Amino acid sequence: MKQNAHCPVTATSWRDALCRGDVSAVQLVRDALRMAEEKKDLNAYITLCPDRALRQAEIIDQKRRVGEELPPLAGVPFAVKDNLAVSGVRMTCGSKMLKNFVSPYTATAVRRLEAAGGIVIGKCNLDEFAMGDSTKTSYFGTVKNPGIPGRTAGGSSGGSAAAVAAGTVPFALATDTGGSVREPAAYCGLVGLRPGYGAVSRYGVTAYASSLDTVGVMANTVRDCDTVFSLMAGKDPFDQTTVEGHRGADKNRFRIGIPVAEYENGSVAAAITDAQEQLRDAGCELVPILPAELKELPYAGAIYEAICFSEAAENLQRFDGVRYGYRPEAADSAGDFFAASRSEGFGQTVKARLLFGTYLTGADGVESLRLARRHRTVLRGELLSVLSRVDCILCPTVTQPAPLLASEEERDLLPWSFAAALAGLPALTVPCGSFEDGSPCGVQLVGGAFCEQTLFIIGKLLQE
Amino acid sequence: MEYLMTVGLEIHVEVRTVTKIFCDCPNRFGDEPNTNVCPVCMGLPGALPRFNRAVAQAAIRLGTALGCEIAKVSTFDRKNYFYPDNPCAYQITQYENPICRGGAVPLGDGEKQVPLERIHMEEDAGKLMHEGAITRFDGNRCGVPLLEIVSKPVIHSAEDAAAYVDSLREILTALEVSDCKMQNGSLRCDVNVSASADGVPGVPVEIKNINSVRFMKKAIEDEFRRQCEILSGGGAVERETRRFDEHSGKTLPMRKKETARDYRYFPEPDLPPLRFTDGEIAQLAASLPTLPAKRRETLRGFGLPAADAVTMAKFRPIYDSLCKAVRLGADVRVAAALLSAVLFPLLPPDPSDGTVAPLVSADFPARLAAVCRMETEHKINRQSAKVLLGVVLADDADPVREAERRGLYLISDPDVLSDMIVQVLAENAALADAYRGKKKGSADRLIGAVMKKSGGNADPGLLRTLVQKPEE
Repeated sequence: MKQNAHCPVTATSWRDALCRGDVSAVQLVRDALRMAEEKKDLNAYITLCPDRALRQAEIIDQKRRVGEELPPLAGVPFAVKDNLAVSGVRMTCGSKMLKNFVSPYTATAVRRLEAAGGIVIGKCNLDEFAMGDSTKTSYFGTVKNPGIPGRTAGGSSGGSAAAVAAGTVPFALATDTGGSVREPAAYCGLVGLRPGYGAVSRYGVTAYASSLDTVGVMANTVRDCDTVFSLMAGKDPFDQTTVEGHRGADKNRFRIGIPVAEYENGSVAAAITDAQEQLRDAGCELVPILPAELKELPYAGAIYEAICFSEAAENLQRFDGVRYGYRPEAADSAGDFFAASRSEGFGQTVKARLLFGTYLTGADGVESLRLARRHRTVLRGELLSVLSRVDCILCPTVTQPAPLLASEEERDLLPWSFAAALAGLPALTVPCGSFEDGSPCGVQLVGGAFCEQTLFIIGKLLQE
Repeated sequence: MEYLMTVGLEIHVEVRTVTKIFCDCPNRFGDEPNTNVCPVCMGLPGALPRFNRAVAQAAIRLGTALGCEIAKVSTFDRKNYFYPDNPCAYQITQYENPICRGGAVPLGDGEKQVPLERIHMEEDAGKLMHEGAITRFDGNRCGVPLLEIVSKPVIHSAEDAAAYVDSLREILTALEVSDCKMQNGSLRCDVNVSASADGVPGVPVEIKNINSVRFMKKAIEDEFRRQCEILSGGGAVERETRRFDEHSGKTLPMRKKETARDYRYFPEPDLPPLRFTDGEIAQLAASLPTLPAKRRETLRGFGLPAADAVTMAKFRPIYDSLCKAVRLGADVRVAAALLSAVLFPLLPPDPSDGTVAPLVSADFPARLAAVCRMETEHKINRQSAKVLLGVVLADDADPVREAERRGLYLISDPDVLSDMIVQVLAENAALADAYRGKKKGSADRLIGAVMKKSGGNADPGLLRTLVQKPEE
């Protein structure tokens, strides 16, 4: 299946081709694996699982041969970020700590897509334990941006983005804790969904920040994101924080909240203006949002770091080398053993965040953490209040092109990505405009609680 | 210098649910190492806890039995520390909002009670087995559900501490919450002991590694003595954790000096708050069986002496049978005496409600009542009653029919007895002379002889009357 500018690689079109008999599942999988191999230098994949994938493909082909009804993703190959568990396949989380860890079970989100006929062909590269925005912290090297030479694919889900943007698979699963799906999707010109917290099970997702982690999807079209989300979402007894209750969108005229703001980067400002006009032309009403309505927004980044890093410190404590994971050569005591395992197994960024997070959960720092939690509640209240008057908020996903491969730059982080995460709200990034060097730019739509369907409809307006 | 002993007890109990507290692994003791494990209780990346509501139900039943306030909403927290038996390097427990607060444990059957701080739920850690230079980890026990019962530090003697533990074990067993086997670790006691003088509060020292109630008493007494010696010598007691050494009967410092840990308690983000409605709590309360203390009270109310009440209340099947028999007209003391003499010797080793139940059939209470009534109506004597009860237990026989078949009925006809008296006197000239001569002891010897002639079935009271007031 070849990609061309008029017919983007999509899950739905590949599945349709399979059903028509134009192509077999085995062929789809072989093509995907071959392309992944050809584009090896992008460093998008850490592990490919050809045997497993081909076995599943044969089962789908057999179903088709005997005339069985084919599930919605039948034969569609997809990639999975390497912090989501797939049974029998290595899961490294981009870290030396789990270099040789093979998961004995599959994450619920992946399992549901496999039950729908989808086929995992490999595990994608990421910043170590999802901590970063460029994949430069990965133990397995940085992921290159397929479309823009000299730049990374962003992070932390850079590998998933590159896998899709390079055309190896029509969609990939990833995780978004504070922008890790949306940002690389924008840098690679893809659609990226961060579902609302609790919509998709976190069982099988190596925990980073328990109250912020979500399983998201990146694809070429909003429609594919919609399809994949619907198949993954729903209450899971293995994750007691999942909730049912996602709302259908019951109207076709939407009110779009536009934060009153100045964007330094001209391309970003142009992208936002462009998006506004498209939506207005499509019949949407634009509603300005004043900074006074979102007083907590400037603090979103600080609140996010406190909560995220403290939860991360908690969740990464389990990596102690005892039952699995990196084991040090020798140690005189249990304490020394743990210290060696973690000092040698983790990279610098991870260690820095864990130290900060540990401080925040200890007697000296816990008051700051509690303060952050209180502010989080206020921020969520402000966002929900705004979203009671509008159907979504339109804001930039990124403010610059993807990070350069060769430099250590300071990133300007917009508070919007963190704010949506802190409030547990769904957000969808859609390609819009481009930067001066031709790098893709993206805008995001932040929706109300349980309103992913609304985002898909509005997102489709922007894709047309 | 008079020192006051103050003791606080923290008891951990393994709850007998089918599966573990946060996953579906079997909650079983004694299986091959690392066979009852899964990604959750082994702390694999990506695993999440899922709370087993049966554990909360057990906690609420216990809390209700002890008069605690049951929290309609309670939450979980992570208690953080690194140790090889702790897969996530945190234990999920309840710190801020435990499921039960307050309540009290009665000491024996008197008025004395020990108030509680709280009862909360938490998960157990794995087991480490040391073999020389190697230590092995067994994850079977990871995630076994525990209830932690914390008393207020208001116990002032080792005897009371022992009574507290005994009472708690009795209640836990009766509720079927735990099998309370200290030697297997399904009930663990940590004791805090302090010595104070002149109202200056003492420094509590924690004692671990206590494997029986007997050793707990010893540990408390030894530790109190140790602290008094320090204080009377002008020293200060150091706050520490010590372990009880069974061989020496002394408390010793723990080999590793336990520095004060900051557990960095953290609200558990993966578990939503646990909610129970008033209706659910009421339903659990209604499901409580009658507890041993209440059973003893009921038996004393029937007129049974306290000591006998303790024995008869021990096993639910026996208690139930006794109550039913009493309500069918049996004299409680007679019934208790018979049960004691005939049923108790038949109990299996290490008896429990479960192993005692098969011994008593559904008809047993009515048959017990029948036997008791026969005795109190002087139709049979005690010896015959014991025999009958034995047959009832062995063959589930009808006692009335058996009494007839075996000729156990007492001879209560005065004419028949008088004839026997005459016969005995006729057969025994020396006795007859002594009796007629009203010689001392002769009446008793005559009674004995007639009783023997009757095969033990002469009504003793009637016989005595006839002998002592001869018609002839």
